[in-house]
Amino acid sequence: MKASAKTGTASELQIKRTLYLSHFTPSMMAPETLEAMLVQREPLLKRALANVTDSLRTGSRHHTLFVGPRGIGKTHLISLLHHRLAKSKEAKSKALIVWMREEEWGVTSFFELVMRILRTLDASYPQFKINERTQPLYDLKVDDAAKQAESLLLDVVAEKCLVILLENLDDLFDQIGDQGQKAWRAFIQNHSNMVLVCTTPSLFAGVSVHKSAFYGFFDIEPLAELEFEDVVSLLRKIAVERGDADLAAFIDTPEGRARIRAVHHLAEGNPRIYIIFAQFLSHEALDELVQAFMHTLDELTPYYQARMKELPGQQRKIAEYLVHYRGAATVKAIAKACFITQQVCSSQLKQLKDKRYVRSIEKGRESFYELCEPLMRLCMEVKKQRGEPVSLFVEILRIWYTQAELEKKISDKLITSLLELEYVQHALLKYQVESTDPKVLAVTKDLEKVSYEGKIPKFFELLEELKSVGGDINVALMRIGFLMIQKIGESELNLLNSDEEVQRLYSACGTAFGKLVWIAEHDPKNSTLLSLSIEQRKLIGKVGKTMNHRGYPAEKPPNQRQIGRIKQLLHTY
Amino acid sequence: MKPNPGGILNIGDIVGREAVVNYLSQVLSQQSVLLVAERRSGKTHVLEKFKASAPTNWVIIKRDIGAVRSATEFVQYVMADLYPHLEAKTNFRNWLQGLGDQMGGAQIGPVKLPNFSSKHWKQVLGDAIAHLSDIATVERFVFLWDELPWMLEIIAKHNPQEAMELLDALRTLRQQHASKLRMVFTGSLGLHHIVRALKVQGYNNTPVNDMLSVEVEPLALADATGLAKQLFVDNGLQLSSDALYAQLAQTVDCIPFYIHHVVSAILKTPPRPGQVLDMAAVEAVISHCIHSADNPWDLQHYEERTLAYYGTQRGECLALLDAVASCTDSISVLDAIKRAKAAYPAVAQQDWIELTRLLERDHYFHRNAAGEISFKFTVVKRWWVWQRSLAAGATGEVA
Repeated sequence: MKASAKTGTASELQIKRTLYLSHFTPSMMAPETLEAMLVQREPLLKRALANVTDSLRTGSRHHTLFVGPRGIGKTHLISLLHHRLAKSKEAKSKALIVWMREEEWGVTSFFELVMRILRTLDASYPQFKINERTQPLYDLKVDDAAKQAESLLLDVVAEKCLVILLENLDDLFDQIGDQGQKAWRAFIQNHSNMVLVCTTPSLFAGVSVHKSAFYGFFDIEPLAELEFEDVVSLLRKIAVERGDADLAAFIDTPEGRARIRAVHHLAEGNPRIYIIFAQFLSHEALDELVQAFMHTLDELTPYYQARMKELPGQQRKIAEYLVHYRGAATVKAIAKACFITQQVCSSQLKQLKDKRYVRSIEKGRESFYELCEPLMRLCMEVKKQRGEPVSLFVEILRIWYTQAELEKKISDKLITSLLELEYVQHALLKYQVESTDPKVLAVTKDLEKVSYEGKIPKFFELLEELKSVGGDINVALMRIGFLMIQKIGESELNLLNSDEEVQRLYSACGTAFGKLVWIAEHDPKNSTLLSLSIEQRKLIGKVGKTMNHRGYPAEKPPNQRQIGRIKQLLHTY
Repeated sequence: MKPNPGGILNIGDIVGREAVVNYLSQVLSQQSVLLVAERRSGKTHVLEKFKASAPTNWVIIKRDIGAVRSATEFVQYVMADLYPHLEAKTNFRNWLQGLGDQMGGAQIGPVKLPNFSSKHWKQVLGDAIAHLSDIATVERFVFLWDELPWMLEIIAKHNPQEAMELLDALRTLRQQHASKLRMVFTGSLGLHHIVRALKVQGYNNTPVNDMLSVEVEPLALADATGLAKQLFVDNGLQLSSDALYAQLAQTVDCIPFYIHHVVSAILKTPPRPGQVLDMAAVEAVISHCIHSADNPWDLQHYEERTLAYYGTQRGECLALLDAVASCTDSISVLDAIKRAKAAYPAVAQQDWIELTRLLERDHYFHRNAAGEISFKFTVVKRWWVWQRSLAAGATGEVA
């Protein structure tokens, strides 16, 4: 099934619903759509809601902070929390709810924050006539106005609890400074009538450093990247919401999953990228995809450029290196590429980490550093390309369309713009230059991972995906066979042998092994064989001789005795 | 009870603080108090519990004054807090009216104060407090001033003289109204650091030597164990044996903030329904909090603050901390000094002893009845050993 041909007939199109998916402001989307598109985060949302509810029922006050990079779904969560609270009778009777959206900032003191809260309250609760009551404040001196504004807020809230949903707390803290933070904390401690649910792209000194006013104040809720199955679920939900049954069905096929898997490897679990991606899955014209993608990057680029400009030279050099590197790098590698000592590099990386540009991943005793936000890398890449197509986007095209499908687009004159043509041509060119299909690479990578983890059923699912995108399952089985046997000890192996799936694995490995032995004998320059390492090829030669597999029929699986022999030999070697 | 690390707890959920609250009542019958402890050790909750359980003929006024920027503003808050208790008194009302025009005065909560900018704040504060004697039915007026050191730090930044005068004025008031007025100072920052900074600028007084220092200690083991168990059970979690709740509590030094934090973290990746957790699952969370680069408990602070606290003596301070951290058990002060001296042989013995005392006061060390010292918090010790790549395991004896 072709992704580009999933839009169906005109009558089918009529029943497809229009679905508005905002890339940046989920708050503008219908609550029902947001609910339908929620994946992975339901327990987290329930927990946050339970904490607010507990605060309303008891004298406790729980304050929550969602932490995750841009595009991870923080606003989506806050929007849903607001929606669920707004529907709750209990919340209506016991709380005033204020949703301070991210675009509302521009406050420089706690007083201005209180004024902003009052203004937001006025929009939702006109019965308090807040606007009218704040007018006299403008005639007072700032200090007096500040105290009066606090008094007004207390009067409005009265016996209720003020639930504040607030985005980008880090920015707000930067703006109101230490004094503003202390004033806010004092207000909360003195009146105990405020519950905060906030978001931030990453942890910052204002909440995590011991001497800060809000240290240890929040229950921190990190938002994890979406896992592959979450992504499949998200895209399926979007397809269903849109009434696109074909697409929903395709997503569940091995081929659909393989394509999504490859995109997943590029998008690094950032939901915003999937939201953009999801919107063009059923579009006939790629142009819309190109435009949507470029528009997104265009809007974000000034922000990330400004962030890059804020950095001193060495830190900027490191950040640019990580943009180019596309992944997590060691201090040693970064230092070498930037012509600085490892000591200087470590110190600069620490500062970059404090500023929330990079994050570190500990593996054993080594630390790897990568950019906190995948979108930053994409935006910087756009600028670096200087008019050239964005390589990630070309990759996505290569993932989602086969070479034949892209060629057909050109031959059938389905291309509607020069920009689209440019991208399709680049994708085709890459098909010619690079022999390895990104889908095959992505599936193979995950195959290795699941085999290391001993997830046998998952392994066979992935094998189906590999088959569907034309990957060489013999090589995969061979590699996995090696990994399995290297990793699992004899005692565990005996235990695993009782598992039917493991038997299948050995049978499959044995078949692949037999095939490779046969190929080694009859076609030593075969590409499958050459893709293996020298050691592996030597091993195949030795095993072949020992087993006397000359002329082994490729399709016939080995019997138990032969499998046992393969295992024994692999252990020996 | 739901885990609530860092949030405000319902009074009923503040466990194991009865003893310190009772002690606070006893002490406040006699004198004012400096309530001290590390951050997040539960000082504010102790104050809340004390406020809720104080004798009925006591008036407890609690206010976080951490953002107050001047002595005048501080006096405004004192007046606003006294107002509900004194508004019925004619003398007070007359005094207030005579103080200045209502126009241009500050409004704090429902209280509209007169504009007393023409008068000196010290005079106004003294006069306001003097009206407490008008209320015969109240035995004690207790001001619980949370984050007082922050206020003094802010004031001192622009006007150190005013900060000094305020400290002195409060001391004078305590002496003048010794039978009725009590104060409790507390905060995230040690008051001694503020006083020390003021002394550098010429301050010579001892403004709190009439106050008793009361430390909010971690919970007793039984209370901490009970809290851990309650949090687990109330949230559908279970440890494989009751002894493990005690082990958990001990591992995090019986500090309620950490106990809440551990349970909250476990709930974020909850076990399967009915799954019983072992200590390894708990230890994994604690270990992450101590060792991860995210540093959620900001234990780095214990190392970083030595720069501000000990200045030129920082090297010796770190050497002493390293020496004690390297020992599995407690170590005699002299042996600890002997080890630290290897790095700083020229430092006089008396300076080392003084440094040891300061580290004890700043909650690094605990000294047992035998006079041996060890890290007060095992969590901090674990982090210290890890962070500074020390080989923990040496015995307390020095060859």
